[in-house]
Amino acid sequence: MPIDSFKYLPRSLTGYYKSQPITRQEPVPWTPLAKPLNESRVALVTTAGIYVKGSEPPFDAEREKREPMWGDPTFRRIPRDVEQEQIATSHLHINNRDLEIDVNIQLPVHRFLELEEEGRIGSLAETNLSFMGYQPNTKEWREKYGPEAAGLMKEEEVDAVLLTPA
Amino acid sequence: MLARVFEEHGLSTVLVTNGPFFSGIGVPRTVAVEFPYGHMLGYPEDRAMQMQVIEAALEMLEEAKEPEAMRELDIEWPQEFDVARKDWHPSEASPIVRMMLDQAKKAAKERDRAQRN
Repeated sequence: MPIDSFKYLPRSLTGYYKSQPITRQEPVPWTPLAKPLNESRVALVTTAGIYVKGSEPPFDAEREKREPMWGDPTFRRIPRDVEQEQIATSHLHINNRDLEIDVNIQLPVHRFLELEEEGRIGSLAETNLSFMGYQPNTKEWREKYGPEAAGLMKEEEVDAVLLTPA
Repeated sequence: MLARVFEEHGLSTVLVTNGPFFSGIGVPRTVAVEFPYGHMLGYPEDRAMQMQVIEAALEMLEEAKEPEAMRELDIEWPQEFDVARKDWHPSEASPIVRMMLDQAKKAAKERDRAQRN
C-alpha cells in the first residue's frame, strides 16, 4: 500500500503541492556507509524547531510573524545528554504538545543512547541539530546553514545522519 | 534538500518522511511513514514504534546500494484519522495561514461589494 504523501495536508493545499514541479536534480549525491554501523557515529538532525532552554535562543518567531514569507534558516544544537525538561519548541506550524512530552518522536536522542548501549551503533554524536522546517526559500539552507551544519558534524567525526523533517 | 547537502559533504544520510513524493528531487535514502507532521518517528512514549522506524532507517544505511533507495513502512497510526488530521495543527494559525485567511476574507468582501453595486 503506497504511502499517501498528502494524507495529513489540508485538502485545499493538495492541488497546490501536486502541481509543484518535482524534478530530479542530477547527480543524486551518494556517500556509502564507510564503516560497519556498530563502528559508526550517527548524528540526528530534525527540522522540528526545537532548542535547549537557557542554552540558545528560540527560532525567530517574532520576525516570521512580521514577515510571513520568511522562515528562520538557522539551526540549534541539541547535546546527546539533553533531558526532556530542557527541550523547548518554537515551530509555528505544528502542534508542539507531543514534542514537549517526548522529543524522541522527532529527535530520538534517548532511543539512540539505548542503541549505543546495545552496540547497534558505534556512538551517538555529541551534538545533534534542529532546524525549523518552515522555509519558503531554502537558499540559506543550501548555501550557508546546511554546509555549516555538515562541517560541524564532520568535525565531530560523524559518519551518518538520521534526518527527520517535522 | 538538507539530505543532499549533507551527503555531498561525505555524510551517509537517511531521511524519514511522511512525504516521499518530495524525495523526487533525488534523495539518497528515504524511509516513508504515514504519520502526522511533527511525529516522524511515531507516537509519544511509544518506544517500540519509534524503534521500529529507527531500525528500518538503520537498515537502509547498511543495505542501500544506490541513491534514491526508498522503503515504505506500513505502521498504523494509533489515533482515529479524523482526530489525527486535525490534531497535528498548531493551536494558533501560523502567520502565513493567518495572512492567507485575511486575504481570502478581503477578497470575499470585495466580491460582495461588487455584487451589491
